[in-house]
Amino acid sequence: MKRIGVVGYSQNSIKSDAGAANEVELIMPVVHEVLAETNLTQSNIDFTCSGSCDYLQGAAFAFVEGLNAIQTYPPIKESHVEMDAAWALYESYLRILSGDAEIALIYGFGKSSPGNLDQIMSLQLDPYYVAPLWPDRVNLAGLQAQSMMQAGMLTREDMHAAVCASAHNAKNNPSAFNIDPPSLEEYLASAMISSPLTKHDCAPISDGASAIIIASEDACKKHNLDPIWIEKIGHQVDSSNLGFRDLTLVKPVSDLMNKLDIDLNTIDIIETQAQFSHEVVLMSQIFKRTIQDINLSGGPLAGNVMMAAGLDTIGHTYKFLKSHQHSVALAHAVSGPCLQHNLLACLRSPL
Amino acid sequence: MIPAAVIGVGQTKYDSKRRDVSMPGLIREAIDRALIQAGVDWDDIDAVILGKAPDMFEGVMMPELFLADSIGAYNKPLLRVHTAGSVGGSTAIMAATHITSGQYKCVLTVSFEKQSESNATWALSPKYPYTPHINAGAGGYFAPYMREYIRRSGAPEHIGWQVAVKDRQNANLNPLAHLQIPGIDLDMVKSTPMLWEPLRYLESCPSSDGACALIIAAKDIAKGKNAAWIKGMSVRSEGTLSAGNGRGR
Repeated sequence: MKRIGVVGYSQNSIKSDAGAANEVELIMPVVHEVLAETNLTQSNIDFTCSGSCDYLQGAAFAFVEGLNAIQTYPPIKESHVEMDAAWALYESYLRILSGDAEIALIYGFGKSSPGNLDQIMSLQLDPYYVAPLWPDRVNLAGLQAQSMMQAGMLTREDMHAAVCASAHNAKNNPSAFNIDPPSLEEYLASAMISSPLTKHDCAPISDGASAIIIASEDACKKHNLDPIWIEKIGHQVDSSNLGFRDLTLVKPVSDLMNKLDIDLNTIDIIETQAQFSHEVVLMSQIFKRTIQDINLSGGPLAGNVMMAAGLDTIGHTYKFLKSHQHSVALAHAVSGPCLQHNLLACLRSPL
Repeated sequence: MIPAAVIGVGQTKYDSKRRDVSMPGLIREAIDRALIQAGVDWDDIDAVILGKAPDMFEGVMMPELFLADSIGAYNKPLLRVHTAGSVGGSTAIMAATHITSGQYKCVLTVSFEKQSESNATWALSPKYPYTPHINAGAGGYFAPYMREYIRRSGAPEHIGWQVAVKDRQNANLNPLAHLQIPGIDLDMVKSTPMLWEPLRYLESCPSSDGACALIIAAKDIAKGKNAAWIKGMSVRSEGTLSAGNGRGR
């Protein structure tokens, strides 16, 4: 099978409110940066794929506007997923495998600041039976955290540890927010948004964009690119019926680890798109790591650009492997209520 | 390219309001027909690729997530394509790419729209923050392109009417088509109200509820079946308001 690698990654400095900045103004800097990093130009890109969501932008066809950030004349091979851009990377990966392209540019962007994100995310739910009740995304995350507590898998001290670990690790990522974590006493005294979740436990409202370039082995040789190989990649969706799921398990992740034959003992670093502190705890248990050992970038708790945060898990693992301190990494992107849809990518440094 | 073939097609009856079915019900009507025609079952499907254009047409954000169970994607890879008006074609190409990549043997792809759940012209006339509001609908965006095409090509006035008549006559032969207009002719089309110069009412497509599903498979599954082999596929995009549009034409 053709080898495909990540050859460049760029992330905007994440903002809590990007103000009047539109799609083009968010995307253009990261695209230029990733092209500069790889010494490629737009004419070297065979395929472009983006991830975004109209409901976040508040307008249909937001990605069409976004396309004005790149050169589209002569017309380009392009596609878009209404998903996190990690899945745009997966689409690009299949295109390269099929021989339709050699080098692909992937970007994701999102602005959560203009609307009420918690309520907007409720529009993802079954419109006939669930959405009319308006459970928001923090309510649903709270259900999952409660299930973990009832199963003896989670304490508020664990959640506090996840908040602190994220703030500490975020110092490794210049694009992340600088968060001053609360002391345990302050944390335990914080008001509940949706029990047991406080504002400290929820990823901050974030605006921004990220871009990645992936390339085939032939293209890497031809253009003198320095790849981190995507050794394994796959994704799987769980049931949409929350009552049908055991929320203390993330079945797609365990299924994918079996299917992709991922041996956790061989993995050096893990980035997971856990957007709530209890999700960090849950994923650290599934990945058999300490809370402090996952998300060396700080993860979504230190900056969570919707529709790009999944791509960022791949981008951050790429950056860490490039720094030559580690050789194998696992990236975990998620979508949907209570970790419904999951993507795993295993990256390996050629060294 | 690893060969890929369409081995089953399923389409619903298209109508302005399919009030008899929910979204899952509408989509399953297409999927079930495609599975039966392909002679495959849910267990044979490796991945599901769902396409639809703006989520505001139904008022559900990323509806593939709530549809995961009803479209048989549960415990499988599920990909959602959204490339605006080209989404049906792009989704089928993405589904076929699953096969041509060598990673999958048999995939289900379905595209749908249930525009009666919302209002298409509202969904297409958003108020973009920090941008002047254009209450245009689809026709309002396309009409300037048509006027420019007519200016450059010198296309005579009756050409659009003729295309509308030809397509509606074909639709009369397709029991699943939304519009069934017996006796349609040039006079009928040109007597309908002008919506967006030069586009008249009967020259425009209707807002429809409907779904179409395909089963696309690799050689070992397509073998012995009534298969349509995919000979080639490609996509191209350009910026909406690119000043270079039409250069060299």
